[in-house]
Amino acid sequence: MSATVDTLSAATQERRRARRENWHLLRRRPSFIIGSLISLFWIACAILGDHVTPYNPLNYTTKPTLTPRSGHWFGTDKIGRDIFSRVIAGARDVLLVAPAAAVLGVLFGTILGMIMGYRRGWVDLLFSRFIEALLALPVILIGLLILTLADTSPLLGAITFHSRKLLVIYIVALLFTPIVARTVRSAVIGERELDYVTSAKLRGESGVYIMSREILPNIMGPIIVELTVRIGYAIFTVSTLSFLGVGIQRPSPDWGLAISDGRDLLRANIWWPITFPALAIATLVVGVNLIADSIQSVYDR
Amino acid sequence: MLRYVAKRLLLSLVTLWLITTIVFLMVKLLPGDPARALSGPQAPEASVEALRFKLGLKDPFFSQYWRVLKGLVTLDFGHSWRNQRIEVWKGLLAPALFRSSKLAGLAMLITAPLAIVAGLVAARKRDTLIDRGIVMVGLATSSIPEFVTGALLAVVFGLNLHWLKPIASIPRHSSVITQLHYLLLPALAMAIVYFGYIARMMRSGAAKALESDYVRTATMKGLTDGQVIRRHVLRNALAPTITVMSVQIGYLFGGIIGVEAVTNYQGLATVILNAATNKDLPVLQYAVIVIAVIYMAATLLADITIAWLNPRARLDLDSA
Amino acid sequence: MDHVENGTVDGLIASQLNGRLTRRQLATGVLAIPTISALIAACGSDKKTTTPATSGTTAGGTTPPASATTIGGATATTGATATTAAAAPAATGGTLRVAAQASAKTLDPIAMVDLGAYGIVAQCFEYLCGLADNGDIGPSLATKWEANADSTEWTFTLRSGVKWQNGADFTADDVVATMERIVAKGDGLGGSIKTGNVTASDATTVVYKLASPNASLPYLVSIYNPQSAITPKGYAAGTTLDAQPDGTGPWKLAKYDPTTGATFERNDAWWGGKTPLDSIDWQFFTDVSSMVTAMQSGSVDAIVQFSVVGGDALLNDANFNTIKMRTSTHRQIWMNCKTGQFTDKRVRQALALSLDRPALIDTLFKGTADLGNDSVIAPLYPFFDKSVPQRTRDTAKAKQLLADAGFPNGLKATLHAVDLQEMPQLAELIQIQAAEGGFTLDLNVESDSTFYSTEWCPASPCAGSAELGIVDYGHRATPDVFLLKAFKTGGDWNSSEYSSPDLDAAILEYQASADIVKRTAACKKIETIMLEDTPAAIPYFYNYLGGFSKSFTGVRLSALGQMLLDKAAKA
Repeated sequence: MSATVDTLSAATQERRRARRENWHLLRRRPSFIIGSLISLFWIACAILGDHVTPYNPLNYTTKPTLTPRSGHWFGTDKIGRDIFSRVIAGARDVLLVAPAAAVLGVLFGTILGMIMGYRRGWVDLLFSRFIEALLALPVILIGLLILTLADTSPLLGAITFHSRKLLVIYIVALLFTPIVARTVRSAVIGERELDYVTSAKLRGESGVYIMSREILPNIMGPIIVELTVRIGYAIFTVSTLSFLGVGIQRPSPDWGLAISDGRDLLRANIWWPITFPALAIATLVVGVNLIADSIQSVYDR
Repeated sequence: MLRYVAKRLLLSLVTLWLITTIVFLMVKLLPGDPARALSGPQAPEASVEALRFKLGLKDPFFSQYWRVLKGLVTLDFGHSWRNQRIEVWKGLLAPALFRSSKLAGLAMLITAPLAIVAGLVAARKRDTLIDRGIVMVGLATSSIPEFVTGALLAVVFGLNLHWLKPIASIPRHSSVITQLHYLLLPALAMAIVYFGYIARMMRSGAAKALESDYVRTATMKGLTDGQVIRRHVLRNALAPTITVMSVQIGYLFGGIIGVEAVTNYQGLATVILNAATNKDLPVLQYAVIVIAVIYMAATLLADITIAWLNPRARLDLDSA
Repeated sequence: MDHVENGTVDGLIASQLNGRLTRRQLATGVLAIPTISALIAACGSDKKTTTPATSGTTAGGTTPPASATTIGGATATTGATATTAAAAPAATGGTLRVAAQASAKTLDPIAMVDLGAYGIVAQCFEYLCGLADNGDIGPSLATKWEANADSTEWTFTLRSGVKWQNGADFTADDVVATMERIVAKGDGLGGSIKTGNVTASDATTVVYKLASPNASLPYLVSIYNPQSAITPKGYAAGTTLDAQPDGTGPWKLAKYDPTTGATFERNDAWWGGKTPLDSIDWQFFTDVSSMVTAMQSGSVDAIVQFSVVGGDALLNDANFNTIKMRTSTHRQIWMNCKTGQFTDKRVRQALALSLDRPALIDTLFKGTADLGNDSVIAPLYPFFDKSVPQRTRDTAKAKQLLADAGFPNGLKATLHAVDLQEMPQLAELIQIQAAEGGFTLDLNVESDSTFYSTEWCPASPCAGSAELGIVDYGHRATPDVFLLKAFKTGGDWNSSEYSSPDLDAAILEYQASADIVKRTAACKKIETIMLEDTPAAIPYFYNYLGGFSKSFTGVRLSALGQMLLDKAAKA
């Protein structure tokens, strides 16, 4: 008995040491630093919200479509709201919805992927076919379809407490589940033949125990990488769905929604209502991708 | 090889059936009355009920399902519910598919060579400023949603510089050159996004290949850089790149609703969006299947191409 | 000039209306609505709009031969056969490309509801009364119409020599059959006619016997009531234009694709002669911004409708003729009077009092709109009574009224709106403005196919609408349709489920009034009742904007999206 305890703690210690080393490496990489700075900036905006904006982002204060000027650095939008305030405030909704969707998606996907990868058999066969089918279709398309068709469902309304944001979180999470499951499944398949798993089986441990206590810690690497990548995709997806009108709804200062609203103003050379939210989306996704990229390179060593 | 292709085709059929079923269930379970939506709010209830019978909405669940499957097998997609004179395939999907193909083709034509070359250059000049630059650009541009790029391109290059056409409404009977001119803006918007993915994949594949033993052997044997690249690196680096490109194909046809909306180009994605909004179920179901077929065909083609490029992969396939 | 100042023309028409109108003047359609179209079009060029020569000759106008590649599998369509050049005005022949909204529903003349459909159907089908040059109604399929002493019987004389596109002759039987179909499947011209009321006394005369007097009947069978388009007698109800292309009009539907648009070709057998242009390329766009871009970049030559906020560029474009018209187009913020929180009229008044109407007009339309006073009698109507006091913003009173009605801490509700044109922005503005009046509103903006089937009149006749929502109404030359359908007890479009015997009586009085003084008096009653009861808040009536490139002339437009191109020619 004591022998196994020692092996366990040795393995855990080894993992902890590796993690600390990774963290130190990560901290030195310029892309990680830049990415974190950008992301932290937007997270701060999301948390502080309208406490730091010069104007109330939901209220119109002056004439519509004013050019950028002192007092209104980014100009005003179609109904006279200050765009600078709305860009700052717009971080909140997307940083609430997208990471939640990504985390939920990774959670569902990990559970599914582990079951599929560990159990194999008909469960694996069935779900693999299912996943293949779903992956054949573009994520945006399925999301758009579901959200368009679900416009008036009382059942869905009840499940999501009539919160559109919650509905979007669930749907995007569901959209990401298949691909996360596939990644996790491959990782699990790679692990299940290894010695420590066999020894755990010999010890008589249950499947759930093996999956959660033995395998899971060893595949955290790919899972973390997957999570950070998914957050980037989630921001992209949520913005696009909001742009198409089926995601986050009015009068939220959400960036995708703002771009959709401001589109017809471009013709009149009124470029500022879409440019600043667009830059916001771009910088946020770049920041998140930089973090994801650096984590990925560190774990790939 | 043949066994492999046959097996893949069989699996594809299963996948197709699954997709059909999923979409059918989605449409049936999610609410909304297609007959009412099609008739409009002013239509008297009697005529809406008549429409329900006509569209087969009152038939038992499985009989409706069977009809969809039968349509798929016999390739008879029937008529649009919204406008019953128009055949789903000939009148809606085929023209939309044609339009989407032109756009996707142009986008790939622009992106692929550029991205592959960029990836190679980045791999060769690993960790230099050029490499970092290409990776940064790739990362940045692939993050920006295409509807944003499309709108900005429209303003700068369309309205101000007049180099591109901001609206892709191609006049009828245009020459090929004119058509290309109109398609350039949406294609560029798409290209800017996909450049990043493909370039980075190429870079990582090429970098791995450049570090491998046989390349070192080849260089030692005295082959020039160019020959090395052509004979060895390309073949191996292209494999993951081709995979990435094939996986994106479905997106290029069905996922670019943002670009299509911004440039008023009515491709497959627009048809699907309209069908969903109008609850025109036959169009919706078969359009989604078309996209799935394109995706599966593209990935199959990609795998075969990789096998042809890299004999070792062929062995893997045969044993798969 | 690029657009006419409405003041001058209104003045002209107002002076015409000073004093009482005789019945005879009414009969020939002089009850004018000061909307102007061709007048403005003519202003834009120095060529007068010309009527096409009746001898059917034009300068050669074949469409260019199809090139090897066609788009979307479309087959090449050939233009009208070229004939010898005649003394036709300026350059004729050619195609005009129009940017228009796609129709959300089918092209069924009786059941169509949106401007997209109206515009297309108006190319092929015609009306008893058409669009006159001054924007009022004038002869079309009917050359003359007359009422009896108390406006309970109208006689329409039909034009002779008109042919359907399939070759048959147009006769009074077609009109009778159309009217019967409208009674059976449509709204019976707002309830004015029932089965058997319309008869043909001979091949070119149709008689309408009405149960109650109606001096505006000609408007109900005119282009301003799009659902009254005349269809052939064998036309089964529910048939759509693209399923069975036909009509008496100047254009034949050559091709129709619900996603991309339609093509029309000249109808050589049209009674009005040979149109200067050979064909029309009617292109669908998903939104106004794409249309404006297309117009600016030269991909289209005319735009059916655009909005002022996004269309600044066009208004200032030297190569563009803006057609700007005061209209009765408006939005109704309906409040359900039967069920929900708005049954007490004090609550409804409170919401109306929270609105800052000038601010709405300024922000949404840059001032190009008339103030609305919560009634459907638009200021542009000559019988609009100015003496009814204009409601202005009073948030203190709003809060007080809410407290009196049992909501001392304010009221929470959901405001529904459809995602079209400026309505999403209107909803956002109302949410902000109403907050100061004690209302906490949640927004629910939906796509048009969902909105019209779930929030607004989900059943027919209208029942079960949401308790608070915004719905759009297109321009009508008289308020009959608004009154009869939206506010009369049991009206088809009565989303407020409003029922007032006083208003119903006032409406009858309005319909029966034969001169402007009586009509204004009736309208005063209507305006006062609606202001007091406020079944809907109506903040503005905005101007209609459309237009075309200066390389063409003769484009006419109605404020219902019907762009008439029979007189259009290359400049």
